[in-house]
Amino acid sequence: MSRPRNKRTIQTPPRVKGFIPVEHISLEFDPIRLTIEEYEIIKLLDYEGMSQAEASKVMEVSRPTITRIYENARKVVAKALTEGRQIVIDGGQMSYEGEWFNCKNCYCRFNNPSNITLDKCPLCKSGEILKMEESL
Amino acid sequence: MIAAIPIKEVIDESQISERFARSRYFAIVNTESKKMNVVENPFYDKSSGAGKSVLEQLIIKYSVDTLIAFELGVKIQKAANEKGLQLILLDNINRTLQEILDMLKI
Repeated sequence: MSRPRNKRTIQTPPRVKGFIPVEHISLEFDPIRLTIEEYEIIKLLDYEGMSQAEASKVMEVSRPTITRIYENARKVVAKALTEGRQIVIDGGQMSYEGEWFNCKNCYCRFNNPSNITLDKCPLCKSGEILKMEESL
Repeated sequence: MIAAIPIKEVIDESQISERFARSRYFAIVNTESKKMNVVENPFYDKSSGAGKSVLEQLIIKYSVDTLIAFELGVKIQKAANEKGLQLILLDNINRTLQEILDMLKI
């Protein structure tokens, strides 16, 4: 039996749950899934400009694993762009760095540094907050 | 709460800076005393490691316990997590300082 995969550490939950192409006709196709760890690796390497070695420390996995996730992430994005498919950002084998919440009133995302139960948004004080769940 | 907010200009209508550590100015907001002052960021053009320097100064000099930003760089975020800071990531890059002050009721 193969060893269970290590969970990838994700710094912050993605801002959105996916992307929709402009032309509505493409909505007839099934969406393509980009896992949260694939999203994170594109962010670290291409948005933050980190090296794969730096990203492997942040996500707490080996550098070859980073290479493998990145290759797949690029394939998913390329397929969506070329075929005009929706992207759904969801799932994967990961855990967030601490607890993260989403405010349904001001739409900010915030962490819980004290680890006591949170009941309102620290910014707008709304009680409509949702814990961002880890997948799998 | 003493929050640091990265801003582009020294006016209440200023937009939030895209990158926290590279912001020219910070608004330091105390939600208990309801006071705000704007400080310059001496590390905004530092070639590397701006995040850690900015964070140390905000904590030591201004007793900041909360960072409010659109996006945080991974390095400054990891350091802020280690220090137990409250992190708040805004929904929209076009938010102004005044809008945030209104939400915080300052």
